Amino acid sequence: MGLLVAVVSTGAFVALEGCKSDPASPGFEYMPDMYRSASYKAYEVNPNFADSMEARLPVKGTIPRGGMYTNYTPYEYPNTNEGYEAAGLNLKGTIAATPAVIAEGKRLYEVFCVHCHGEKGDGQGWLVTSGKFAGVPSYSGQLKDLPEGKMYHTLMYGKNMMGSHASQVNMTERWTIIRYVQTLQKGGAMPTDTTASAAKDSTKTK
Amino acid sequence: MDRLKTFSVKHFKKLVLVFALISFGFNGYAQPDGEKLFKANCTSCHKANDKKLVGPGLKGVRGRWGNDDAKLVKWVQNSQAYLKTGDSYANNLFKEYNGSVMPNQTVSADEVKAILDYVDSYVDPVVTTTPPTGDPGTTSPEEPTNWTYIWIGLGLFFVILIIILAPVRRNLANSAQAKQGKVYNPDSTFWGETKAWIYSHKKPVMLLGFLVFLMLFVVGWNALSGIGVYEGYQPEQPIKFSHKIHAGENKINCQYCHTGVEKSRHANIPSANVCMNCHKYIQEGPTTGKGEIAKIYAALDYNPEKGTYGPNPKPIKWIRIHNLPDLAYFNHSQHVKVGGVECKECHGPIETMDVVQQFSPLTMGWCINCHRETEVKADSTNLYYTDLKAKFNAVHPGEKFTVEQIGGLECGKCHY
Repeated sequence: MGLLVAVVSTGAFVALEGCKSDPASPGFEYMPDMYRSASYKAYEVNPNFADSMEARLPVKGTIPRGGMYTNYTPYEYPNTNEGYEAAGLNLKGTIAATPAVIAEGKRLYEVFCVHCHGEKGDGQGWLVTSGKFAGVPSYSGQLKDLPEGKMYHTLMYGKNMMGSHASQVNMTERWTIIRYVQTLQKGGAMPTDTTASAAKDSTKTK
Repeated sequence: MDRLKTFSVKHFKKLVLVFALISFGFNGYAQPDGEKLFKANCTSCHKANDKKLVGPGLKGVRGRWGNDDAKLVKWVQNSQAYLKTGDSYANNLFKEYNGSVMPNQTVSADEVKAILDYVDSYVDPVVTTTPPTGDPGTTSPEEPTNWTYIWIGLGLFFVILIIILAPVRRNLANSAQAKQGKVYNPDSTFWGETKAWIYSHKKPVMLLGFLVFLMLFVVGWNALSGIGVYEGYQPEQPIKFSHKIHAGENKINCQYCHTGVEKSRHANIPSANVCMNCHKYIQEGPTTGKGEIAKIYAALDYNPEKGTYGPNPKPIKWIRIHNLPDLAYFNHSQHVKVGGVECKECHGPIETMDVVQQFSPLTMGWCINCHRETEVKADSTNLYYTDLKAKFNAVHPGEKFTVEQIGGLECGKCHY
């Protein structure tokens, strides 16, 4: 009898203790087959692929259509010095520098660029001033006359210590950011007349 | 006399020059600051040690160029023009780096020399990293386990003590009763005694029983209502990526890495190329040293010494924290882009977490509650809802235009 009491009390104790949540365990699920369907989810392990990744890249040469990819054009300049120079000479953005575009560009710039390139585009972002990163050029200094095609090329492939941001911003976003960066090249003044600034941009890059 | 005079003046000039040089040398402001110049002009492509970055590491560069500073000055100021002189070392270097052009630097010859002096004197700083045992992420989950064992051990000890002592107590009681001439019952057992005690103490036993029942009910209720709720789930990830350092201290915007949050159902786990935007340069972390960053390099098959990628990248097996059941549909872009919900409204103070944990319960009640209370942002930036709000208020004047009112509680919105 005593043994039974001991087993029951110990069992109850362990059961109660077991209710303490362990942060590394997700806990229990009731009928998990209803919670988790058999299909592969975006980031799951998929044994059908050699690298076991369910997340796949599009097939080479695939062109996205519609939605945010309306007017998508494949990028044809190669990741070489010649490609960089050619992009600088020939590549022009399709998005005009309207105040709305530049405001959106500023928002995107503050997400993707500002920590290194700085709020004024002077290359003095907080990662540079804190000494964690170094060697970021100033848009209004060294890169004052950088044509937009070269900017786009740099966003696509990266340059020097800057990595490629092509996986983070799509075509439209790249040009939107570039329109804002062009205002930083000129000292950060927001354009007032849209047609004038767009015309200035196209002459400047020629 | 005349000759003597000019001679002394010449000497005097030289003397002044030497004196000026010495005094400037001591004051240190006539000489260009090599370290400053190096950091401003060279660090985006070169390191001062022997590690390759975009261009070669500059350690021992003077020796490689035959100790001829003049050649290096020409190269730095205009590398393409220097290549045309046919210098074999420079041309081989150009070929080795796949023809990537070193941009012309606007530095004077003196400044180049100062930079070279700085490179010559440069020694890698010795970095002391905290040992992995000091990491709070690894110790805290172990602690409750230790305490559990201590409690179980103590409980077992007392139970065994009771089992051993019960017959002893019974025998003592029996013999005491026998001495007093009372009824001696040699068949008395532990259970029989307990039963007798319960019958003679009905009220306290009932009260105790009720309390035990209440306790079990509360504990059981909590345990059952926690089924399928992962709030507080905080698994150790394969790489000790700290949101506290990246999002907190370094103030990197959430969207820099989680780029899908405005465009897709998923907020995106960043692929490792996004890590490399910074970690090509930053090869050592402030708390974990090189070990954790090396795991990114291993996953990408990247060689930080040479700066090249190998052919065998391997995926990083991050552990998913927010596991919404498949029977419910959730879309990040609808909430963040359209609804203008801040990340932290659901994910909590991520920027303070070294190891991320699930902040919200993600239960249906939690979703519904928010849909009932949240007013739709129907300002000028969201014209679709502005129009809808005007129409809604025409029918229901003065009522709150919540998510519920635009169908946010319809079953089919999330379950289909």
